[in-house]
Amino acid sequence: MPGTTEQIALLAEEGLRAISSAKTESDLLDAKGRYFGKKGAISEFLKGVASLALEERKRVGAAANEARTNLEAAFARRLEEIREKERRAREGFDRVDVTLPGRAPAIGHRHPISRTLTEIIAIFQRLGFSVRGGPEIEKDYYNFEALNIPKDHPARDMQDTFYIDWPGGDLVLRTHTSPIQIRTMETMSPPVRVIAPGAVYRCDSDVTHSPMFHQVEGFAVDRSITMADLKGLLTEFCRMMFGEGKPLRFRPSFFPFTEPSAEVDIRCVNCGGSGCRVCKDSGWLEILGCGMIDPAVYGFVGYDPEEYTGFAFGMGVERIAMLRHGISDIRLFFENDLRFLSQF
Amino acid sequence: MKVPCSWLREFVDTRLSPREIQDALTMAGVEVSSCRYLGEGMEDVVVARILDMGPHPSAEKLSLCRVTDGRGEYRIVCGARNMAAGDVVALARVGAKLPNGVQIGKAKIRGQVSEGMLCSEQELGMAEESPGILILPPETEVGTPLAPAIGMADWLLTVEITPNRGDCLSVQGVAREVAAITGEKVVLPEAAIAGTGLPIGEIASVMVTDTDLCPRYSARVITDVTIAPSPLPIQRRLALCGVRPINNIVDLTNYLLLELGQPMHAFDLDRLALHRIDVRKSGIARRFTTLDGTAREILPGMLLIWDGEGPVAVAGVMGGENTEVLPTTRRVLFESAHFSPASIRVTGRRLGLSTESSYRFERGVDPSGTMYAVDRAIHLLAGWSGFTIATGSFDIGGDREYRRVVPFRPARAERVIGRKYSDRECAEVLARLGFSVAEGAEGKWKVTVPAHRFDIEREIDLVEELARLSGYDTIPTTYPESGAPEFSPDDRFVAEVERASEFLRMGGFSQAINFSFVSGKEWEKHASLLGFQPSDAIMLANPISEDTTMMRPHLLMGLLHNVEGGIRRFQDDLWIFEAGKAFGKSLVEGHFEEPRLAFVMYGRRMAGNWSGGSAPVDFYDAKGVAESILLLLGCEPFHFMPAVSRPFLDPGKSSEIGKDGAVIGWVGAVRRELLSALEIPGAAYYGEIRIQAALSFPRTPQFRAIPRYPPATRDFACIFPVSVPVGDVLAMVRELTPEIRDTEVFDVFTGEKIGAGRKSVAFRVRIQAEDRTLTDADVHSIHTKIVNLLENRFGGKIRTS
Ligand SMILES: [Zn+2]
Repeated sequence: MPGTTEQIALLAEEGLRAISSAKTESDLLDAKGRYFGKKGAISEFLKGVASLALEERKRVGAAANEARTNLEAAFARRLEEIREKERRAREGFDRVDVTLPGRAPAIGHRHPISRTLTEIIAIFQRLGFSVRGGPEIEKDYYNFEALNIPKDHPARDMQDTFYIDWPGGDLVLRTHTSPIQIRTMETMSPPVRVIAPGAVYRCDSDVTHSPMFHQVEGFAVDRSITMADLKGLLTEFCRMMFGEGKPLRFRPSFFPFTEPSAEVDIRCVNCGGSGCRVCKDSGWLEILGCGMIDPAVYGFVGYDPEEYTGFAFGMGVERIAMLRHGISDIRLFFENDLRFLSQF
Repeated sequence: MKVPCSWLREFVDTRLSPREIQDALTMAGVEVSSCRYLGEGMEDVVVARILDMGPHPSAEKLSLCRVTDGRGEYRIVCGARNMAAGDVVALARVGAKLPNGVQIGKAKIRGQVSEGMLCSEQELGMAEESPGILILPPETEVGTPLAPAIGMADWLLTVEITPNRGDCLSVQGVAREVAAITGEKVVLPEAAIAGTGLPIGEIASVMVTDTDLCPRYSARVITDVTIAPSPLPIQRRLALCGVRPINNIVDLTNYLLLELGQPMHAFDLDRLALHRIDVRKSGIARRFTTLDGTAREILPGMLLIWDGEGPVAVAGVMGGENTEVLPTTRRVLFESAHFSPASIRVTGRRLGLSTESSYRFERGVDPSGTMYAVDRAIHLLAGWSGFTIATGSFDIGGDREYRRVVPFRPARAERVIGRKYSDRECAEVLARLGFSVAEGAEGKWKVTVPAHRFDIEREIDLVEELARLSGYDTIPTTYPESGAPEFSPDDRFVAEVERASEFLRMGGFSQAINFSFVSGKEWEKHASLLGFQPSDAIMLANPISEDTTMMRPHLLMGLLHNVEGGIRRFQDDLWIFEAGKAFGKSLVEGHFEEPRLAFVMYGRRMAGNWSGGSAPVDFYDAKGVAESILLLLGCEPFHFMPAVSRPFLDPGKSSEIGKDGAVIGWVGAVRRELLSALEIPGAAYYGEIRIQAALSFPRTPQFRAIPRYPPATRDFACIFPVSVPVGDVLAMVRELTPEIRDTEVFDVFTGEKIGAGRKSVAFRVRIQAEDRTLTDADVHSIHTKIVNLLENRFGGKIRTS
């Protein structure tokens, strides 16, 4: 019987042969199991030498450890060789082209009006306003009367109105989202801070007018709201919407339901103020109308005008989208041509 | 409204340049949308005389002119025919650039050299079109620059007046604004006259019956007048303001209207029956011909001017043909009045007639200025021609006080505006406006407002005047104190629609926004296919076009038209969605409007993908989209059931979506007949969800213990009659025992192999207990229950192979 260390050397040699002849990863794992795994030949052999003298056991143990270390190293080398070979074999035919499109639905496009509207709403929500909706088919009372636009008043000429064919004739397609002011104030006591987005309608159609378009109306009523607050709020809004460094100007104007009233102009986004076709050479672009809510309006909703003050503002979403995206014909928004929509 | 600067300066000798006037007025709320130098481009055009002219040798429509500008002579080829030798004309010499952009060069026209051009009004930018070249008055000095010679060395302002500022609808009104801004003085133009003729009471009479609608009526009479053209400078001013010159009397009334904003009418006194004027409402409906030659339907209650026999004018709107000034007129009654704005507006609207006069009366004409206007008119006319003024005047309502006293508190201005206004500043600004201020105790003032400021009635009106004239730019920028946060369900609605829209975008849909109004004609044509009752539709009373007559009852047609448009543009895959309202009549409210989310799918399942995405979309794609949206909206539980009342969807390939007994949406293949009508080839799938009905209050998920014991799975392949709804089968399987956790269909097919009228369905069931590992016997027992259910309840046959 050969010496115990020699036997280990023999087992190690067999193991190395098995490793070097392994063709696949599983051959290799198989060889490991047979020779130097937990239940492999070397472990089994060591179990058989438990009866030897201590000195001898130490020697055998050292030889076994050395053999294992060698085998592990050979295993690792061979594993790397096999994997490398497999990789190389695969590359010939099983390789992805990273430039081909992935498998997913092509992403669609949001309508630019919807995008702009969402942005405007988000800004005012951050500034503490909450959203209120209202009907598009509206009573004359809410669309006009309660907003201080009586029948037979020239202010009605400011908005060409669509009337609904209806007995009594007092239904209109709302010409602005301002009726929501009245509807809100009728049901709520101050403080109120509301924005009212939505579709509105006017009998008008050309390059800059569409019979249907979108508006965002905003208003706030409380005990100490001033026109200075209105300036502050809208300045902040314009900064968030159009970016820094775009001066604003507040210009006196007229709306029946606000007094004092103002139009807000922003420095022309196209020419920067030097004058161009977009701003009709004025260097300014009108972007919204606003003012302090007229005391007459409070009369319709039962607020005390001595106790409360408030402001209101309104802007056309199409107008803002046209300025931001450089669109010159409003009708494009409603043609829903994918060649247009896909640009947004 | 157009205002020539030279005219404006007659009223206020302002230090401001035209551009400065534009800015100052605009920033005070009187928007000047354009400020244009009229002589622009005329710098190189001079006054010249035609020395002689003859035919062009080789072009019979052209002539050859020899002209002089006083220094040199020029040969000009001209295409116009309205000139003759000796005429004074406008000559653009070589090198000139005209207002219409034309550059004059030395040219050879049909072999003849032309050293310039004789200009027409159109070429000079003075008119839209002109019949021939401009012929100047013979006395015009030859050789001088053209612009000053024809009054065009002037600036023209275009002023946009808001409806509240009727007082600014005149040169005088705009001048008052300039003065209020700068603190300069407004000049009241000369109006001195002397009546030397017969006493007016002997040749005419005036009365006002309806004084509530006509608080003031002023009139004078002139005699021995000759109707003739008015002076050229007057004609030019009228033309600049867009008014066609007619004769001295008519031009005079128009000139006064533009200058003072005071509408005025001139009657031929000898055509007034009994030389009498009465102002009163019409008692009956009648026909009346206005001076534009149109017969108008006068309704009872409309205010008319009458003579001794019948109506002679529609008060404040338009005069009658029967009494207008004729070339033969010798005696004229000039009147200027004040009429109730609302009455004029109603009359004008009913007659479909808006005139310069009615436009001003609607917005308020100064009742204190009528007599002055008549005097001013006659004073002006005296400079043009000779006549006699009857002694005295009629002035009904002339002794009334038209000024108003309005209370004002400087502290209130501060409260509204958010800026301190000192008493001194308030008083100074109000004084600039011509308001007189009486400062009272405790900061309560009384401000007297002149009659022309119709818009100033309340304290807030004075606050506005103060704020705008001290400049909005002096108002500080502050931020509103935040009030209590407010919860609005609409915040959530907007957020949920936004989420669903983003989901659809990520899923390959593009968003459309279609008009809410549709073509009633088209809907009626396809009424039965669209499931639409014309009597339920909401119609517009005044649609803007044939395509927009009716509020849409649902969103399908808009999206189908979008698909149709896409196909016309050679697009193959059209996945489009829209969030918008549907409208209709309802029993309770009379009418309803309801937010909907709709989508259409046309083309391939995974457009343009190289890897197996080219299969056409089918019902299950559309259903999947609908399901996902509903899950996103937190709509569970909901269920799909065969569609019964959606005729626009194919009954064999569509479904309604139910929740709590209500239909909350529908999805399916669009009816072939509809697609054919729109020339859409192939199939299109459509889904529409009633957003409010689908939005439930979000449930807060409740934790359930994660199963600790291993699951078992069993596959079943079963042949059913084709009518068996697989969804129902699986629902009942899941209800058999609590250990059945879920079911998943992994194969469905029909075909010859299994025979007609039958379908094969394969599904996997996952079985798992919460409290123990299931034994083989447990699983077997559940398996048996399932098989029994499939066979006995649904007539299924388990496939063995
Ligand atoms: Zn510009």
